[in-house]
Amino acid sequence: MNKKSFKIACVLLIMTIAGCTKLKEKVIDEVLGSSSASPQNALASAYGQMDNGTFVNHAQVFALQEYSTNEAILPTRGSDWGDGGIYRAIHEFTWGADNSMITNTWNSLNLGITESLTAISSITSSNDPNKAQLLAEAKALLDLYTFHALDLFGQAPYRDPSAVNGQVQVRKAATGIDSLIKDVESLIPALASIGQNNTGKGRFTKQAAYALLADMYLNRAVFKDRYAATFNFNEAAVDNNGTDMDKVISYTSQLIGSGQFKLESNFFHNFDIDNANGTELIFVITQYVNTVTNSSNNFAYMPMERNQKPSPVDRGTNASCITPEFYATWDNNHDDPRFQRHYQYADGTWFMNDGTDVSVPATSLVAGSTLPWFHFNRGMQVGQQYGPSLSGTDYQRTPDGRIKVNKLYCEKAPTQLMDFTPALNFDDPNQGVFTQLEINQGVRPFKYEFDPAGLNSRSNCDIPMYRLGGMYCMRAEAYLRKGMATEALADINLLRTSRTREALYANAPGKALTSIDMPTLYNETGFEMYWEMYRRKASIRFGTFEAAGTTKPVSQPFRRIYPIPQSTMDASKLFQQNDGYTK
Amino acid sequence: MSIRFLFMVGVWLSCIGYSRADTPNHYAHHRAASLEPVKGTVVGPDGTPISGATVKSLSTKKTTTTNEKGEFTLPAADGEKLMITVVGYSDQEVTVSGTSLRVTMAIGNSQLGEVVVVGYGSRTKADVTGALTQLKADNIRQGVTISADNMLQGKVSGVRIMQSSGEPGAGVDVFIRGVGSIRSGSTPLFVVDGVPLSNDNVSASSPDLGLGSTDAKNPLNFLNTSDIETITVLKDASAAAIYGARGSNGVVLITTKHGKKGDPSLSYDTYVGTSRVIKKMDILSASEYRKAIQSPAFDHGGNTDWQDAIFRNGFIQNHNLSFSKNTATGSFTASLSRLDQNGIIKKSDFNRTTARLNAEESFFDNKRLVVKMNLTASNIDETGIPNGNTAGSDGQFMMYALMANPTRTIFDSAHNYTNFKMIQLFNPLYVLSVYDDRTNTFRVLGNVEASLRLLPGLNYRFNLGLDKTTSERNTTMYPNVTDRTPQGAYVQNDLKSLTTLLEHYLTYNLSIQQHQVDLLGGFSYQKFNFAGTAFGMQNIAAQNTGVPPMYNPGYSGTPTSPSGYAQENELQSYFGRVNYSYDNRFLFTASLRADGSTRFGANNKYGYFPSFAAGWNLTHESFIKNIPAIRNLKLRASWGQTGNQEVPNKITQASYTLSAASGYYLDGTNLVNGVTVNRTANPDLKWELVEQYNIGVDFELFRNKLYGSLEYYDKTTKDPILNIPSEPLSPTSTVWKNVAGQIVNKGFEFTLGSQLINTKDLSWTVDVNGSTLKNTLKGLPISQLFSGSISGPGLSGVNANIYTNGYAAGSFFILKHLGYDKQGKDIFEDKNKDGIINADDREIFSGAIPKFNFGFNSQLRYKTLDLGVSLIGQTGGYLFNNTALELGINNLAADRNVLKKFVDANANPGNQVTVSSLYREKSDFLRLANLRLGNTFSFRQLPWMQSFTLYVSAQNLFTITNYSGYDPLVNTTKNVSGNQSLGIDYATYPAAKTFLLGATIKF
Repeated sequence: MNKKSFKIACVLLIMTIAGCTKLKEKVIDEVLGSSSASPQNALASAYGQMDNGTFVNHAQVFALQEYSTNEAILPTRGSDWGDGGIYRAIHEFTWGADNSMITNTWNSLNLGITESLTAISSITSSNDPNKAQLLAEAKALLDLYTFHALDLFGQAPYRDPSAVNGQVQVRKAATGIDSLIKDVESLIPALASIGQNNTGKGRFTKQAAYALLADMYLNRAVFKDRYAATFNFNEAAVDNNGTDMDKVISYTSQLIGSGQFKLESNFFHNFDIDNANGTELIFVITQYVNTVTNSSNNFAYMPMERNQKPSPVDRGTNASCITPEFYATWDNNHDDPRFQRHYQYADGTWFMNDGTDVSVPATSLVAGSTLPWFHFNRGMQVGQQYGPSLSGTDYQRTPDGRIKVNKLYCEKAPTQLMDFTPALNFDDPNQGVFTQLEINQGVRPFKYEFDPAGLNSRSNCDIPMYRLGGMYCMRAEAYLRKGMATEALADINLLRTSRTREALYANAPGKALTSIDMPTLYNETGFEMYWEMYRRKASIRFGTFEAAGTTKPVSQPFRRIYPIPQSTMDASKLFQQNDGYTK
Repeated sequence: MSIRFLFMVGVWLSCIGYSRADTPNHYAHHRAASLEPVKGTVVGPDGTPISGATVKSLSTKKTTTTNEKGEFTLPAADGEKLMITVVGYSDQEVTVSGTSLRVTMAIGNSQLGEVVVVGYGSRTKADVTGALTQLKADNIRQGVTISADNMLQGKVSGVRIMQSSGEPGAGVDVFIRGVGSIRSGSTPLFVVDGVPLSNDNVSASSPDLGLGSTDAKNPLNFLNTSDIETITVLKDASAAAIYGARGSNGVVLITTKHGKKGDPSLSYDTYVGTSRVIKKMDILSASEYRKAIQSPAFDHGGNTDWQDAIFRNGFIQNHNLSFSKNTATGSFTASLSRLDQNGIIKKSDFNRTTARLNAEESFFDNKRLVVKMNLTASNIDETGIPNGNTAGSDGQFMMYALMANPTRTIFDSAHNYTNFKMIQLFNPLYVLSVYDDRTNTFRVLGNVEASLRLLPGLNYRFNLGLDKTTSERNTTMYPNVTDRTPQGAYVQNDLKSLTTLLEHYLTYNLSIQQHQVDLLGGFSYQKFNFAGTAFGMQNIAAQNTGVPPMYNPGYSGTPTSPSGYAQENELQSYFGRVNYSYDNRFLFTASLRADGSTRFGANNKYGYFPSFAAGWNLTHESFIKNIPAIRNLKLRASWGQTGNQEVPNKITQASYTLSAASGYYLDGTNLVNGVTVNRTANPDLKWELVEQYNIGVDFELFRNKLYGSLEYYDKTTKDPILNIPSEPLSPTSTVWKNVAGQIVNKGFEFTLGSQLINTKDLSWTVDVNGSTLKNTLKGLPISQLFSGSISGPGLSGVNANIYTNGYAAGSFFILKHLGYDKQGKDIFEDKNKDGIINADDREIFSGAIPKFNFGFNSQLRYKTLDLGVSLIGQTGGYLFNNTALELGINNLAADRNVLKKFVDANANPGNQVTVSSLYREKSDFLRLANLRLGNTFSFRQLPWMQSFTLYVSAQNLFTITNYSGYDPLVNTTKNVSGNQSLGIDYATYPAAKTFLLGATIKF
């Protein structure tokens, strides 16, 4: 070996030594792996997914359950809310498998299923002293998400959480509903009662299970035979002990009769931003305005006009409203305490919203700030609207420092009075499109209180998933479907008469009905449950879903469920597209 | 033995050196006696002396070369013709008259002897087998060019340069040979003096204070374009494959200036100039608006041109001082520069200071060891305006100005900014007044190269590089009367980036008779560290009260939660290349690179990227050699594979983080953090593979009357990486995956030049280049992917771009607008004939990628005057004019301004905002990109001044186009889930036209 070769060898050696990295990627700003997650963390994210848009954003479950019905509509308002027609498609029954709201809802429910499965695995392998209860909650959440997926899409993915690398299976509504019922029933013993083990109404408790079971039994007939002309509600229950309707009565009665819950005399307290103490709430999504969780203010924000400003830094967005058909169901019932409620300020001033207001005191302040808080009335906002206007960064004031109340104009059509007309006069009756000068139209339901501390987006309001009022609605429906009209009427009248109006109307209770039939009951559930993601299922059960309505033609039964999103069809061969949708 | 060997080699080499240096002189001296020697000086067009030029008498065949002062002496009689040749310039024939000659050489466009920079080395143009184009930066006189990539505009066929915005220093989209990737990441690899740069942003990102976040600035801003010697674009796989997994979007090699032969030189360049908006959008004036509106309530009594209100004449000044020296053993060059540019919109400024030092020295016997150092440092201070492209239901700054009602006044009666009292539309000048955005970016790029000759022909080379950037951005939105951060906020974003490079390689050259072999083998390791932090305050003190938060964030307000990230990735590569030529006629090149990347999955750590190319120099064949018209004719063909690894870090690994955002109040009051799954793991992830064929021909005909190249390529991306919906019950709804499917780019490119006139006093050279492009997506397993998110009210989640099989990237998927009915209502095509117009009626329209791009350049010189003209243009493409969409007729009913053309078309203000072909416009244009007139003065009485050049130039002087937006050459980055948008024009900062007066003084 001569020196020449030696030199070359040296250089080659250097080059070889230099190449020594194994190229293993170092992740330095994240913790990889799930070992650091406790069962509580896994369970928290399974719960958190309810808040992560799924049930609290107007464009997910809410959109599919409400905008598709004769109760709610989100029309295009001039330059706003066109959004490629995704909102109108839901009301006009022209949605396809690429509608992003359908995709997002599906993905959210799927993520809920995935996170519940992760929580089940995580809890199963833990030694948590409260393991049995946590596991039951995780399984119940799996059932809850799956129930909603089956309801909206007719199918849902599932994987046996106990099998390592288990294959993904498809659960279908017709058979899946029974597995879900059996599973939730089996979980009841391990679940806590509200208040036990630090659980509140934001947790899946025995009471939540009863409510969910009632809901599942009420809809079981629909799940079993989705496209049927009529549904068999009196089929034998899963355990052969009575019929579906018996089970609805039995589970709702457990809650009604438990003494744990009481109907609110102020109906709107259920939807106040301080509703955490509500006596009627059974299962809620806990929200906090000062948090990094989603805690959405959406249900209050969407119907409010842009020039309606609960504080100088907050506003509405002039989007959704109720339909003329739904408004008409309230005819002769405007004194129902659930229809409207005026706000009374601390000094006794009522906000009349009828042109007689001059000013309201500026003493009510937004939580944690010095901003004045203008309280709008609740319930259906109809006709010309009044409220504060801005002057710089503050409201216009009267000389004595009070908030001046003005006649309001639409923000994006400054010459158009903010007149919330019950009628929706679209130029093309088939399309929910308003020109810029028509954006005022539509009655707005201010069922939820706007949280001015949340800068339009967040709210302290706990979103009710199940509450006592809904239990009465379900029980009344079960009674009536069994032919027990007296009992049904009693439940509905209890709902009507337990609510009282504001002091302005001498705290008058609602009036009782004298008789009840199916159409009446359908309207009654609307009075109680509007804007609460109840309508679509009810409409299908009551047979009104296919009927023509504002911008909606008579529809085909295949639209009772939504298509599996195209993106999922592309990613996997697992699902078969639902009938009627482009395969 | 070895000492003797080295000694022998040393003697041998010095002999060669000696004989080379002296032969011509010997030759000259022997025969000179009989004739009177002619003395002369050879200078370039700018008056700089040219050394090493060959001067040959055509009658006596006597030859000499010029010295370092460009001087020569040759015995020649009056009337004798001399031919002067030098690499890089056109040959020049002069007739001797008198005893003193001054010969001005014209720059030659194509010279076979020209040395071309290639990956890990250089070659003469005659030996090149791949498709590449080299530009000499000094020949590109473009006026204000902040960054190197802009210099390629219109100069290189197959390269398309698009501004993402006209803001000084804004990012540039560079597409070399089409769109090779669906994801964001079509940027080529930039290599500066042998250091490959990371494509990550180097300036701190912008926070979103309710006005959208602005695009990242151009990472190449740090390099002073005056420091650039050459820019070489490697287009085909043969040229680029040596950069393996980073070569698929093409490679741009940049070299900076080194000391030139000659006396020490000192030069000073400067220009001052002014710029203004290229054109104004044709929106209604106050009087037109009054006529158009139906409701007098929208007449606010004023008369304001809001575009005039926000635009200004931007002032620019640039100073550049450089000096260099070349010695027998080494050289150095140093330069300093300062650029101040005021943008054409108020409050947007760009200030850059750079310093560079390049040094080279040789050591030991016969320059056995050569050590080079390149060091560039740059400091950039910028102020920005709140003009993002992420607008949702409202615009941003530009849209505020365009939408603002022209009958409003800027100031109210109390001399305050008029409060429009609207939501999502504010007085633009007010917004500007409460917004303060300052970014400082400091970047140092340095490398040390050492080359050691081990044996004759065998060199070991070592390259150590470092690229370090720190950037700090302070953004403040003071408390204000808008609903965008009304209580004020301050955010500081910091970014740190560090890239280190270590390379070793061996080169070996061997020449035996007609065989010539060059070998290259090496190893490269590069590590990228990338980190950033952000923190901020909200509810801060009002403007002009107390201390601005950028100086003391703790002065007022409450802190927001801080955040940060830190990532690193590594690339380890082995590469080799063989060049073989036989008799200068047949050329072969083969290369292979193995790239290992941390970004790729455990199952696919390394990728192997081969290439082959062959060339045939017909010029040297006997049947061509004797055809005088053909000076050069070469055929080339190549095949190769390159990769694309521009995907986010960490995507092969699942990660679970605990986060409050996904947590829940389990006990009703205390938040328990939730497990967040950030990614679905994909250990099989690998690079995108691009396979490319190229055939080309180079030619020089009729004594430079026609020269150029033709190329045809077929470039196919395989295994594209996409972020696609994941399988059901995956931890996340999307996953990064290589999918089956192909993105095919095919095209024909040409470069044709001609030296029309070339005499002592007059020379005129023109060249044109052009390229066609056909892009098609094939075999994607997903039915459609959307991108091109549309901005504006009522448009959230609406996308204009579709990626689907059988169509080109950048196709538009929108409703077809058929016109207006009698009431001015929109008529759309009911494609599925169901009587309803909805999303199901969307159609695919050909889109963003122009079918043909071209550039035209002309250089005319008459004596000391020079005139340069550059035109660029494109045809066959479309843009989706999102700006026009936001200025739709509907605005007339909403107290907002509107594009005049919609009013002229009698469109109905009741029309809703609908994404349709109404806003799809042809992007064809022809632009006078640059016009320059200069004169070089030489002052004989001032011997210390070599030359003084004075010039005026104009950029973007005119644009012929039917496009109604600001600029048809724009691309707003509006990606959707990482899929890039193409051909969307969202009211970005508009382009400018610029007028400059400049001077170059050489001492």
